[in-house]
Amino acid sequence: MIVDFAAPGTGSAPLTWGQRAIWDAIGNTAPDDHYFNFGRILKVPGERSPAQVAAALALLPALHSALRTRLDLCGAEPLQRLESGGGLPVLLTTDDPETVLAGLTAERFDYERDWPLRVALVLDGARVSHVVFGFCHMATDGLGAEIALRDLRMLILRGAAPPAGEPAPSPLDLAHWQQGPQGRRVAERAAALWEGVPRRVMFDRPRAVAARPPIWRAQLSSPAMGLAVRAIAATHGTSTSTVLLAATAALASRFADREQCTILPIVSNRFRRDTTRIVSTLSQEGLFAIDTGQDFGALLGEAGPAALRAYRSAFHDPRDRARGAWVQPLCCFNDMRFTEPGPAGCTRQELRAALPKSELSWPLSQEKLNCRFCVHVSGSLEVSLTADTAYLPRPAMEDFLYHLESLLVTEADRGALGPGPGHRLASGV
Amino acid sequence: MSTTSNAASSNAATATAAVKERLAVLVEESSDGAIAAAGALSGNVPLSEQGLTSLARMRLVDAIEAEYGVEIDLDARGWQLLDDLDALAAHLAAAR
Repeated sequence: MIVDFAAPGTGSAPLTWGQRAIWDAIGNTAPDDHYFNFGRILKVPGERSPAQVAAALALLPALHSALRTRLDLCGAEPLQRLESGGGLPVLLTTDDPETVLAGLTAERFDYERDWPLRVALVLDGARVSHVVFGFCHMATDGLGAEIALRDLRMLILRGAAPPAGEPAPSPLDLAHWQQGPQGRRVAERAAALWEGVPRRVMFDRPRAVAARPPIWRAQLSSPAMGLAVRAIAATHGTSTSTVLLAATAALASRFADREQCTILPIVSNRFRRDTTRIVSTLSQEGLFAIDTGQDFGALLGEAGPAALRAYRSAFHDPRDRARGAWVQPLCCFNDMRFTEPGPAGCTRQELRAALPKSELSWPLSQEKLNCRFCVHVSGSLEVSLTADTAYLPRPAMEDFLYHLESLLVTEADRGALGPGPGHRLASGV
Repeated sequence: MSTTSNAASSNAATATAAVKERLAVLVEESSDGAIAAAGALSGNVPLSEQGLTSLARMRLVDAIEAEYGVEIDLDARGWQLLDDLDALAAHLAAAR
């Protein structure tokens, strides 16, 4: 079916900083740029027919103009082009939602011609059980997608989205603000943080003949690591995300044979009041630089302020970055959890019981990627490493993930739980 | 101490208290309500121990800088300042 939508407002503007950053990454990854597609599944409340859900869907692009924005690639620089209406193809299916999601995200988008979201309605008899989305990363990041899903749910339930106070700026508005004097001031503060860090590539020496294909992802699902990270965060008065970033930095340095780590965490950039509820791609790489030639406890103490500097550095203009040839360590970290579990202690028995539940898998391989070493965090707790096997062969990738688990479990055991036989917990990993 | 300096000291204390109350509201907003303003105001528990995440901390920095026009250094001292509402209020009141 085709869902027609119409909304006021049209025009074009340069890309926002976030759009520019992902556009550069797409350019460096094509033709494997489907890598950046991502999906979401909304369980539909109550008994809603396809026509009722379609009516709600038709209102979504009016609420969030990013969902009716495509690219204009005719000139020397890409532009974002806001459309006032159109028809969104919607697939009707009875397949499993996860299978549908995989299908919707499998192919790269035509950034000029396609709407930046693909939609399927999963039917259970006459009712729609799920709405499945495949998002183009040029339209939104994960947090923006969550906002769109929440609003669609309210549109289905009530026919209107809840009032959210001051409306969020559109991507067009944001692009104009970023190019104005206030945006330039923010960009210059970020630039100062980047310009102070030496240029280094973390993994700069090929170590082996690359596997076929060269890019692989190893993923460790480790409930024990989830418990350990929360316990360490509680002991050190920090967040679980900062604990994971610090541990990743410590081990990346060890595997790259360095005493400093430069790593680029993906930052949501939703710190300002006006960007909290915007549906767009705001996330960008920040710069986290830290001396890793110290014990992990001391490193954690420095990691908090270093993480704040990384957050500030992330809201930058990628054109400044290109002009200044800022550091590109080809080493990144992406905590994709939407709700971060807070600090919490755990017992040695809980850690011991969780360790055997760890599972390693290899869920992805491909020809090309714009980075050599990418750590992703999701769930509670899955940590994956996607790497170029010429620089970090597959056995070393596996070692990295198990060492990460070992480092965190040992630290939790030592610091959070106190000295004792629990040290042995990590020795067999 | 003269009457004038007593009055100045009293005014400074009043200004700091007002800033602290406003900061407590900003803490509540920045943490999406996870730390209530009343909780931030009472007791001597550092904000990080009350559950101020790094995301909330950065939101607080942005809110303070927008409202008070004072830049917070993102170093170890700034980190500690953001954990202690009394010290932060005194810092902002002195900078105004």
